[in-house]
Amino acid sequence: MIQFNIEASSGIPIYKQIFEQVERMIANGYLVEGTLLPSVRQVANNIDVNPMTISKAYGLLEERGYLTRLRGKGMMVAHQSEEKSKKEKMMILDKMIAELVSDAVQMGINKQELLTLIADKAEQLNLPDKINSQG
Amino acid sequence: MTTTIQISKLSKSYKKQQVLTELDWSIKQGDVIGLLGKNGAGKSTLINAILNINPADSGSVSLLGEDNKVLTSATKARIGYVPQQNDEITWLTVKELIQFKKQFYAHWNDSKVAELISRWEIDTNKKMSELSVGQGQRVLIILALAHEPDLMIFDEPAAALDPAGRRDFLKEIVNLAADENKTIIFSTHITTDLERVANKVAILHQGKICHFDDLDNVKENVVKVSVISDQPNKITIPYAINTFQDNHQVNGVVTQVDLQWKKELESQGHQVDITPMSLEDIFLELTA
Amino acid sequence: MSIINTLTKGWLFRIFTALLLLTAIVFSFFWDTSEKQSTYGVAILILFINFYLLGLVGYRVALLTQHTMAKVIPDYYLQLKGAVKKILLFSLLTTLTLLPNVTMMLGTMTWLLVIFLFLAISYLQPSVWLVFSASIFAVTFSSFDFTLAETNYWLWQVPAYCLPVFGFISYQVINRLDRFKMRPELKVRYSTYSGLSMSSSFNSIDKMPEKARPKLQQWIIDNNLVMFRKLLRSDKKISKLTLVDIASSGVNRFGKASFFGWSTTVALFCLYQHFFPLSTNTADDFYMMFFAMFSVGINAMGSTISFFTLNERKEYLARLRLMPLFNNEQEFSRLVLKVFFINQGKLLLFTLVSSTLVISMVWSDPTKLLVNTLVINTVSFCFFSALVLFGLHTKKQVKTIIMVIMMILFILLIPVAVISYKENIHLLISNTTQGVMVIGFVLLMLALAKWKFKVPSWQKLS
Repeated sequence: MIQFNIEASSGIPIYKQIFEQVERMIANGYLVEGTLLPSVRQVANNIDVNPMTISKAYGLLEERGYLTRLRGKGMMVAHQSEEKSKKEKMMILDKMIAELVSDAVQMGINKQELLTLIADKAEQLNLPDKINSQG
Repeated sequence: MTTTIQISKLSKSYKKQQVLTELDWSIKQGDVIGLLGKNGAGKSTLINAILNINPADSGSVSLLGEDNKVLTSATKARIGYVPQQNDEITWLTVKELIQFKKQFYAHWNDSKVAELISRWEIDTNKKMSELSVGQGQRVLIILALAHEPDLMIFDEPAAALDPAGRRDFLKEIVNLAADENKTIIFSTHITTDLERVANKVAILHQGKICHFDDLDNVKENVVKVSVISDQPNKITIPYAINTFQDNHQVNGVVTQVDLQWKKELESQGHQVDITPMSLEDIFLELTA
Repeated sequence: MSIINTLTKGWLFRIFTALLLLTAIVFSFFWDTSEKQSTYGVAILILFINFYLLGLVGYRVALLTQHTMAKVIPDYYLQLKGAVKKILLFSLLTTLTLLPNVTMMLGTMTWLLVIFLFLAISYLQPSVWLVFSASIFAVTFSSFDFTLAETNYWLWQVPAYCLPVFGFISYQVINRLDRFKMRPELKVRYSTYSGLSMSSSFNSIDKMPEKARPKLQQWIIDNNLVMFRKLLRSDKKISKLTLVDIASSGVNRFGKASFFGWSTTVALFCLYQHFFPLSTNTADDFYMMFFAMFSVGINAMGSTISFFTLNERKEYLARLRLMPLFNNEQEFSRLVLKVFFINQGKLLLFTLVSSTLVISMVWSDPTKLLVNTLVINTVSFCFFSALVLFGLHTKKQVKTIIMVIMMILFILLIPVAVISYKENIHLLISNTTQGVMVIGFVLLMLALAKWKFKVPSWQKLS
């Protein structure tokens, strides 16, 4: 079963935390198309959170096209069009980079230093220059 | 959705101290509400006035569609209440007390009672007066849930419970909340108690419900806004309830983010940061 | 658990009520209808039973009316009122034992309702008890000569006609149960009284917050403990003995104020006797009864208090005994014993002195009575003390047993006192009493030996 990591007393609403975690799991391929998500009740009981909050998160995920509702079965990970999922991925990354840059500014690191740092890391992890095919 | 509780112009004072002042509040069916308030804000007074245990001086309360001063038995059977103080009959054992309560209700879920008793390890042969405060409170919770009411009001239910007991109690509320017809109100001054289970939060401050909204909305709307600027005294943050500034920065807690204003400032080259706040901080800011 | 069950819970309470009722029924079967006194006896017994029954049940009713949940539970007051009506009906039915005398039965019913109404008021305003006690005192010890024809008229006939009125008032009072409003401190007090078992209520009386107590009691407690407070505040060195005394004293300690209170009672009694001297034999018996109860009662009460207080504090004393101040366990238990006997000794001395004073003032030929009182006091001292010492020494929790034995002793000793007076028996030269005295003495010695040779168990078992 999916493990959500909820921090109740952070300022971010719990439904958002769940939303983002599912979003990320789909983006990084942990959740593949067709996977059934645990029911609202199961999740609610598992992480001791009001079921309505879970429904809200699932509803939002459905609205954004990540999940599809199966009558009587629950929520299933939807098919992600390549173009769309790429866009989503970029959006997530964009958000994370924004945080990164903001932190870097606060630490007094300049643009060049930051870019070098990123390039080095990419080198280390063998990031390809171009993705040829999916997989 | 139907309205479960409708309160209008509720006032109550003790001697010279005004506790509730023309309080208006409307609660919809299916809401799980955390009622927040500082110590002495009047949470218990409000709850006691809602249930007509300690009637208000003026104003009206409608409970499940009936005036709270003339509740029918059928409606009373739909209400569950856990008082803050353990006022149960001291000379009865827990077992006897459960039987005592049972006779008043047409519907009583024995298996649920048995399950909670074994889960919470309550010695039913002990008298109420012999139980620890935490165990006593658990018994009160069991008694309030046994007849499966539609409206549950808990007055500081977790106050005497240890962290594990608290979590367990919250779990029970989560289970109840799954039934969308049930309305739950619980008062607390510990914000972490309600962050997981409440879908709405009400803040009682200076005799009124000063803030009542979806918990998520509260967290999204009430945020800290800081603007980095060379001329901080020229900047006023809209909807701010509390602002403070230093040489090159203005900080403020707002009840709503004005996106238009944010865009404008950013186009002028100012940096506008928005940071979410924990419910505890929000509560402190709103009741400051 | 029905409401009636809830209201009458407690085996001791139920058995006692049942026994008393049985007595009344047995009496009513065997009475001689020609003898007015015996019918009166049954009527008074009936009233007494109901006073006891309604009085104790009343505390619970009063508490239940104030229950936080009362307005939230469906039909709560409706059922409570129903239960109270049923219990009152049961009370009224006990007067059936007075049949064939219809007038007396109806009259007793009225008196019963008067008691009920009095109790109802007393829960709201406990000070009416003072009025009640004063009037009982006045009636019991009055020099009023009972002429039967007249008493019959006022005691039973007139009340019998008043029955409908009192019935109506009582009915209305019950129907207004939900409007009962009690002072919060009374609620605390009553929840202590409502335990209906002596041991549990004794312990909770010990823990009752000071403000919830009656004013007089607050004053007595305060004054009983004032010397300890003074001592603790001063720089004076506290002796080990006093330390143990302080540690083992509860709010029920018999101190200066208690002795003062009892002395005042005795003095009032003497004064009353001086102005309204004895006139009839009946009143004479009342005096004797009062005296027997006074002597045995004070001894029993003092011992009970010592026992329960020490028993409750076992855990605390257990920790105290480990302090380096005490050389060894034996020394500590010796000190506890000493404190116990000093307190018991004070009590014995007090009863003896006051008995002697009163008896020599009231009775013309006091010697025999004096000797008898002395004997009774000594016997009760030996028995009660031995009981307390045995009870405290054991590892087992013997609270209930000790309490029951003490009550039996108390109940046994009073008739002995009365009979010895009525039948002109010299207790000191009676073989039976001598035997009993020896047994009491031996028991006390055994208890002491136990304490001397074996360290008592300070472990507290609940």
